[in-house]
Amino acid sequence: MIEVVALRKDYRIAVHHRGFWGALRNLVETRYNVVRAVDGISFTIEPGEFVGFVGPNGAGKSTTIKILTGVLEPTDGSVTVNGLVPRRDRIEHTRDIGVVFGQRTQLWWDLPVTESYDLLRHIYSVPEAEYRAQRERLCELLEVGPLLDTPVRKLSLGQRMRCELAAALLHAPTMLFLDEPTIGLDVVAKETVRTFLAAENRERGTTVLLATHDLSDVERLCPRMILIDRGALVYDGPLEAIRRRFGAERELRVDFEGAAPAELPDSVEEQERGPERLVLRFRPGEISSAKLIAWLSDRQTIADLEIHEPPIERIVAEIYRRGLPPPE
Amino acid sequence: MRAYLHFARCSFQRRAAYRLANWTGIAVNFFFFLIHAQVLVAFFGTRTLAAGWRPEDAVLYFAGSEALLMVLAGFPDWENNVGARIRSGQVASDLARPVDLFYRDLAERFGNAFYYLLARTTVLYAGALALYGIAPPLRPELLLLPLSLVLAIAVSGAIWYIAFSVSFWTENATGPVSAVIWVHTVLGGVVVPLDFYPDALRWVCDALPFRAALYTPVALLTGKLSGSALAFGLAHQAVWLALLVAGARVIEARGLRRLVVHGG
Ligand SMILES: Nc1ncnc2c1ncn2[C@@H]1O[C@H](COP(=O)(O)OP(=O)(O)O)[C@@H](O)[C@H]1O
Ligand SMILES: [Mg+2]
Repeated sequence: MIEVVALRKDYRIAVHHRGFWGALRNLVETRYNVVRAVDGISFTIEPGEFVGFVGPNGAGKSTTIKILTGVLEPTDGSVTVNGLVPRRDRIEHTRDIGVVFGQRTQLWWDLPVTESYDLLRHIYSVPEAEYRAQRERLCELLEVGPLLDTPVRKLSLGQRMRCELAAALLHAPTMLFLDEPTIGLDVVAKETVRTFLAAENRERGTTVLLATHDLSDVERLCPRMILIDRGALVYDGPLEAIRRRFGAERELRVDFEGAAPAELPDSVEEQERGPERLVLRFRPGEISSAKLIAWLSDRQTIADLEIHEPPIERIVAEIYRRGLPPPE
Repeated sequence: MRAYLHFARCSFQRRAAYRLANWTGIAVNFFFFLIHAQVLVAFFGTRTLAAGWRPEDAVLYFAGSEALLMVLAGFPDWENNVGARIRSGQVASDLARPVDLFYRDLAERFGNAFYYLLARTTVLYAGALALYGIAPPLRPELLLLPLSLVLAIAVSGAIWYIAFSVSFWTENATGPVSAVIWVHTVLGGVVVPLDFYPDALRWVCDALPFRAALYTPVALLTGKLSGSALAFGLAHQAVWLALLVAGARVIEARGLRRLVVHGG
């Protein structure tokens, strides 16, 4: 179980004076700017939960994950994971968790993937037979078998991320902390990763905390979403409730084979307009995508179109503007 | 323990992945050896150098020092070190695993050293001696060479670890590390053998750790150390290793403290 109570984290950044005299002043006095990255958030996660940890860039997701994984010390508040204090009990704590920092690699860049796996087996002292079985299972699910002999630097991002996930789970941890593992992945790789994570959680009861700023990750995987912004907790509950409250607002981008229609249906909001291009916002509750598309194609031939989920920034703005949904 | 052996192994293999780099490295080491040796032979012919060394003693010595330079990490590993890991943020990934930062680094040094011992030392030493028709001195003291090498590799590992640890406090470690490289090279007593230094400077070198990482094992390999000088050399290595490890631990603890409290 993960318990976070009134967690706060301040980063201290040295402010340097400029120029020659500034450099001398730096020697005798150092001034610091304090950045409050996490500002008093609390939550509890039960074993077996799959929680989406969501927020715009700079919200404090990575900082919180680093505190939970024993990398950083909280400035204030308390964090316990299965009764351990991550920073204080770092070695014991890290034995039982799997971690993927999306921007980093735990694999040896110049070596075939399999060497890193062998190393991890020894880091976590996994018995040979268990290691074999686990590795085989993960390789099959994540389709990394054919990549094992490839040096990590030669892998594509999607291939590497699948290898990273397998690496994080070789010691069969009961908890998995993921910091933006789907960032930059193509659709196919994203889907493999998501299917895999869903299965790990469902079949093995692995607790997953998934930091992301991609709401489609949450929609696909997480019954519960913890939403933070500027270090503070904004919402903790199902994504569905937010959807119901604010309507599932969508964005439609259309390219026409000619001039874009001048007028639009009432319930549709114009975001952007080019000579042959429109970006529109609409709520499927008010007008269905099929109707809207039909309406547009009646007026001009459509060359191409895309429908997008609203980005997390807009949801956060909506919550500030219109308040949270009432609790279920 | 097994885990750290595997860190060493991975580090060994990382070196081995760049075979071309090894051949160019051999060429560079050999080039410097030739310069050293030719200058000596040109200047002294068959006359005795200072400190009772004949020219062939000096040629032998420089064959040993160039052959062992990479094993003993006369220069630090700029790509793989604690400073680079802090700067890139990789250290977060390290700390999220049940691994000790310092021993992991040391294990990597040993992996590198073992690779260079096989891939570079043998080729260079044999080649250099063959070129000048010098037989390597095979004396019973050589049995202590593995011990001295292990101590030296650990000492140099600790020195570079401490040097790169400034990254816990400052963005750019290049300046401080470069300063350490200079001190290390001069006081390590290999470029010019310690034997040729004036007494005062020798005394300084004997008091400081750097000769433990360079001069002692090279002098032992090339038959320049025996008796009480050898006993002193090994004891000096052991004592400095203990001090440096303790020092590295203290610095690391304070650096980590800063890292985990104020940023990272
Ligand atoms: N090492 C650091 N030093 C100073 N400020 C930092 C550091 N890491 C993050 N921050 C700041 O803390 C805030 C939260 O960052 P982060 O936790 O990385 O957010 P997220 O992962 O949600 O994008 C941001 O304002 C960021 O600039
Ligand atoms: Mg982040």
